[in-house]
Amino acid sequence: MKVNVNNREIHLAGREATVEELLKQLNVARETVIVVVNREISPEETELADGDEVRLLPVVSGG
Amino acid sequence: MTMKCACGKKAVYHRRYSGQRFCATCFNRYFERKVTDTIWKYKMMRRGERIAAAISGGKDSTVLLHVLHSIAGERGIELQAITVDEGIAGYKDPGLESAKRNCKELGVPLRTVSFEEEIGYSLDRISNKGQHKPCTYCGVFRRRLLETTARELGADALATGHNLDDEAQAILMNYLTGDMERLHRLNGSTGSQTMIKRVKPLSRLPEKEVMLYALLNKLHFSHAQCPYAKTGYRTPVRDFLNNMESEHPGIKFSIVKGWERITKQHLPEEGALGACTICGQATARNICRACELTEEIKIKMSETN
Ligand code: SF4
Ligand SMILES: [Zn+2]
Ligand SMILES: [Zn+2]
Repeated sequence: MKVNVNNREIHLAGREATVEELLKQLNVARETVIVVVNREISPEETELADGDEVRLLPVVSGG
Repeated sequence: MTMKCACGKKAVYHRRYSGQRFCATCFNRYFERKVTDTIWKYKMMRRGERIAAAISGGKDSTVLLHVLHSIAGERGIELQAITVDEGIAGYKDPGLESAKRNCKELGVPLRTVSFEEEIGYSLDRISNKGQHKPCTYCGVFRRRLLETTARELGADALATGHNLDDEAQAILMNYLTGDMERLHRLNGSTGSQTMIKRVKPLSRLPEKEVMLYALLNKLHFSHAQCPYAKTGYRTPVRDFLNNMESEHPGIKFSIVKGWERITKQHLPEEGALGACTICGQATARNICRACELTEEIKIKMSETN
């Protein structure tokens, strides 16, 4: 399955995957991002589908 | 797998350490309630008080300003805002803009003070010359300016936008450096009448929730990153905590709660603080840290002029 993450194509093994599994694969700690799936802010347990558009918004700001 | 809020609507957030799921509306209600609960639980403010909110234009202080504004009316609190221009090229302008814009929209009076005017030099110039890391000068001078300005404004307390992550990081950093004096000072109750009371209404809310609130409410804030942010060792501590929290939800709370118990049992002795011989501020030394750093900078600047 392929999803688009911050304008990058990411391959996920298998037919099913959640946002949480995607974050694991990308080595991103869930505490550090807010996840937007197809333009909707979504919890990490959200199931992804082929072709989904995912945006990871960093939580941390400097200063 | 259920992904619905208790109200039946689609969830936007899964709060893992409590197992709750929230839709946008219920999340906002939970968040605002948590801030007010924190304020009253720790007696941060009282009816009729004037509160100075320190705002930088970043997400945390923008959320602080909005939530304080939303409760100020019914709670009889007078809100003022202070923003400090440290003089960091390329970083601070969007923050100052957003601070102004938010205050204007909410009708909160804003006072701006700058390092350049109050200390004599911008942080950019100071960090070129000084022997310490930029964040050391920045933190000490900003704190000083906020406190003196808040007092000038006749405020009863100075509120800052520190969130749970900031608190957990600061506690851990003070353990790592063995700085027990600073560990005590974190709770803001310095035990001295000469310093203003400092309160942190967001200190029981994880940074992720603060960001979520800012996004859901479409608040206008600056995303700029300070160019000096990577120089301290807050970054590795933050990464460590976030990795731990991802595996063990709730550890940030445990760190802060444990620290609360420790400071309650070992309260710093009143009267241990004297007055700074230069500026008169309460300090445990002869000369306070702000004056010490100011003197150092003055000497460094005169050497090269
Ligand atoms: S990262 Fe350091 S220099 Fe930059 S605003 Fe924060 S304390 Fe100041
Ligand atoms: Zn709901
Ligand atoms: Zn002093």
